[in-house]
Amino acid sequence: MGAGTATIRVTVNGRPESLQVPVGLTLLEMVRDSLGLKGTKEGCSAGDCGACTVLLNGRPVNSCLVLAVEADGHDVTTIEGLVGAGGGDDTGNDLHPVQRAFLRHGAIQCGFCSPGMIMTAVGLLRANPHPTETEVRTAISGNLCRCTGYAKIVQAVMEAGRMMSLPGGEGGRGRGNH
Amino acid sequence: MATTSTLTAVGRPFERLDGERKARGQALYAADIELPSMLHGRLVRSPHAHARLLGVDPSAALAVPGVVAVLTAKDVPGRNAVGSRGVQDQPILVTDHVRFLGEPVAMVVAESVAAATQGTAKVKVDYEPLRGVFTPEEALAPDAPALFERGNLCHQARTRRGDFDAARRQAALVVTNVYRTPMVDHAFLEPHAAVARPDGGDAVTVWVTAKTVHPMMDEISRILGWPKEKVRVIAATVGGSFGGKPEIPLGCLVALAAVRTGRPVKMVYTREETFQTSAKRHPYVVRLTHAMAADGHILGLHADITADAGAYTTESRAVVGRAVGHCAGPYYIPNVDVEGRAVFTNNPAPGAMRGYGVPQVAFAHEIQMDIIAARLGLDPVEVRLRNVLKPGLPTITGQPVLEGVGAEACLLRIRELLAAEDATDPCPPQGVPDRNGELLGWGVATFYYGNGRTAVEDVGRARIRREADGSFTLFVGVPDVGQGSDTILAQVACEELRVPWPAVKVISADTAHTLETGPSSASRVTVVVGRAVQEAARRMREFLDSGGGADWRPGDPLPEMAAEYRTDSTSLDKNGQGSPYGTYTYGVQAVKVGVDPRTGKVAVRKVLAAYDVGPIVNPLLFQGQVEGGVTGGVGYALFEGIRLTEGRVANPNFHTYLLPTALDSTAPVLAETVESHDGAGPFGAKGIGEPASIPTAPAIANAIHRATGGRFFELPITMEKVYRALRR
Ligand code: FES
Ligand code: FES
Repeated sequence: MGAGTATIRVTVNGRPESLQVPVGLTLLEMVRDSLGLKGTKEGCSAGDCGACTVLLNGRPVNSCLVLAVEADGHDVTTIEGLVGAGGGDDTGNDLHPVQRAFLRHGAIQCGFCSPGMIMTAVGLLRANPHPTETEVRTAISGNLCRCTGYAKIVQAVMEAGRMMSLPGGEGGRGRGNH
Repeated sequence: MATTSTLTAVGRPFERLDGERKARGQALYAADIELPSMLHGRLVRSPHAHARLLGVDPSAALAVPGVVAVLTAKDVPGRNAVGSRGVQDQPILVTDHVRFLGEPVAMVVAESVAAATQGTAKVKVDYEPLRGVFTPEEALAPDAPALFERGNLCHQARTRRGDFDAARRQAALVVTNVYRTPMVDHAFLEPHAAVARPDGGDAVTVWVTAKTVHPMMDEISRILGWPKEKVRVIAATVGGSFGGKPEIPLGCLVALAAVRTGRPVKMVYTREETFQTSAKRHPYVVRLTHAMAADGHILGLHADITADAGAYTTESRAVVGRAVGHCAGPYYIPNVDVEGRAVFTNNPAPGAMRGYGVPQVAFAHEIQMDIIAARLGLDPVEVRLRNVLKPGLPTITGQPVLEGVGAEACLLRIRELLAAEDATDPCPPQGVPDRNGELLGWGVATFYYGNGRTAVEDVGRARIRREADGSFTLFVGVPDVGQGSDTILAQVACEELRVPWPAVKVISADTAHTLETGPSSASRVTVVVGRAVQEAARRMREFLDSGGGADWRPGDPLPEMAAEYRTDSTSLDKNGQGSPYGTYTYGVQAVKVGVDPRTGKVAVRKVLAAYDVGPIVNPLLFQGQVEGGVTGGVGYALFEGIRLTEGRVANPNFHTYLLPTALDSTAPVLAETVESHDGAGPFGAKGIGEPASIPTAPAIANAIHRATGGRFFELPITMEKVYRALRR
């Protein structure tokens, strides 16, 4: 194991951080262990399951495959940074529209895949606000879920896309907020 | 659909209670728990599947900076043997006899995971490798090396009734086939993890990922040689179970390490460790002989079932016990001779997995039914209808089927649905591609599944407290493993208390606060625990209605009600006769597949299901269980399988052990329920967790046959197998 450490500057969930990290540290370890953000999960450490997905400059990555030093100078969003980012609704609910859609559709069972799945969906909808079902399925095909059979996840992502493109933009303030 | 229209909480598609915490990333799974001055454990594991352990020398490991302790079998103060259901034959750290590859021989405890990992490489272990046995046939050979003094036969069970030989002599048709099913992994997304914290010098709290906490407490207390009151076990948020979890040695090891070091200890398995060393679904070889009358009635069934139990007993007795009682399928068969056995090998030990020995036998009996139908010139649904269990008829264990059972109604409904499909979207004849170049076919499979533990009185317990603010807290011993049991049980409580949703909060699976109530498995939670919840809620409502608690003042103890529910199942006699379950779930799935004749690739196009599952407590969660269960069944049917080479898992990660992805699982799943009135659960409900996935694999096998003419007797039915069959 390399003995070296490096100092990196990253913006995590909108907050600038300066961290001294071992050069071999993964972004997943940085998020979970150095920053204590436990919402991002570790399912395989090999890039196979997607449970560790975070957004790096807005694009979904498997954080177990990225080194922390590679994130130097970049912007990282984890599940904890999502609330509020999509704007609240009129009931004061600060969940992102994708999170809300996952709940409404029953797309969460054990929940272990959910943070990664939600981050992948948010990344997809930013790049492609009106995905087809096949595009949704392709986008989440690197995120394994053993519980749901995916149908409700796909429905949730499609609905979130529709909500977010209503007046109010990504704010997705939903019905009654014109 | 059974009616729940007068109910206000039961039957409603409420969002799950823990959903928002999970969506926010705030739910704490065991690996997420951080405690001050916490240490980390890693295991030294045997590279041999079968060996004598001659010695362990930890000195070099102890010299690694950060390493605090190295534990071996000598450090276990109590009895170094754990297990489930009364058979304790597995050491948490090997004493002298290694029985499977990856078995732990020492635990390194260090300030960091990295230091612990470095330490494991420095522990010197001496082994004398022994010849191993890796199949039940090898293990039962006369000269086979024995895993245990009592030999390699782990367990044997029978079901006998009537006179099979006489039935065979009368039969117009006798059909015998041998079916093989692979070892598969639960593949829950959350790997095993546990955290222990010493509480003073004489107590310990352990967080586990588990389907049950009280047995874990029992095992830890025996390992430590402590009274149970000194051990508190709490289920953290559980990242999927499907029958698996807890990993008992893991919970015991962190507890032991915490007690030894006086500091909190966490240990998390890698995905590879989870694949190599934790429980799986048993591989089976099932030989079935059906003796048939010319009119399509089954006269008799002979079955011989062999399960690979791996290196330790774990749940093998109960898994085989369930298989010998379910191997006929939901049919009336007067003459039955069934023998099943579990055999020790030097493979990783399978345990409980969704369906508990039944998916394997369902694969066999449902393909048999299709073969029989073809030989007799009958429609596959028709041959099932002629034999399906009806009220008053006995199962093969002699349990009379209750009034109100809808097994036949499920078949009739599926026949209607298939006729409608055939009218609107007919499949071309066998072997003829449709306009997209695909071979198409429907296949059906039926099943039944006893709810609750087999042939033991199954006990559910629950407690309800009214809080100062007028809300209620429900205490139940079973964890929500992701299936939504907290939500289901809260709906039952709300309904019975007649309070608006969600006025009930749930505290589950904490041995300090909840009563022992069995595991979150065997499709028993809704039925067995649900009844106890209903009863506790009823008592609370009556207490409050009669003015109880009206004079409550701050400082008084809060009003509480507890209740217990016992199933009226009985034990089985030596012929396996008796009433082993209070209630059965029945059902039928029909699956349409499309097969690409150029590649042999099979795609599931549509799934229709009809269940006799009583009223649905939460339609959203029900549909989720069915979709997830079907998807698991698709993996089991088409590609999943642990590949073992001399006890080593050759595919211990998700790039070699493939799971269905969102691109594989695209078929709509249309599940209906039929009216039924026999459910023992609250408001007549039954369990769906396991039944959801049992019929999928045989239905797919039957559909592939309909599409291609190829018959498959072994799972998984890989693309390559289908391709080869198409070339024959
Ligand atoms: S933990 Fe990163 S892909 Fe599985
Ligand atoms: S909800 Fe359990 S893995 Fe997806």
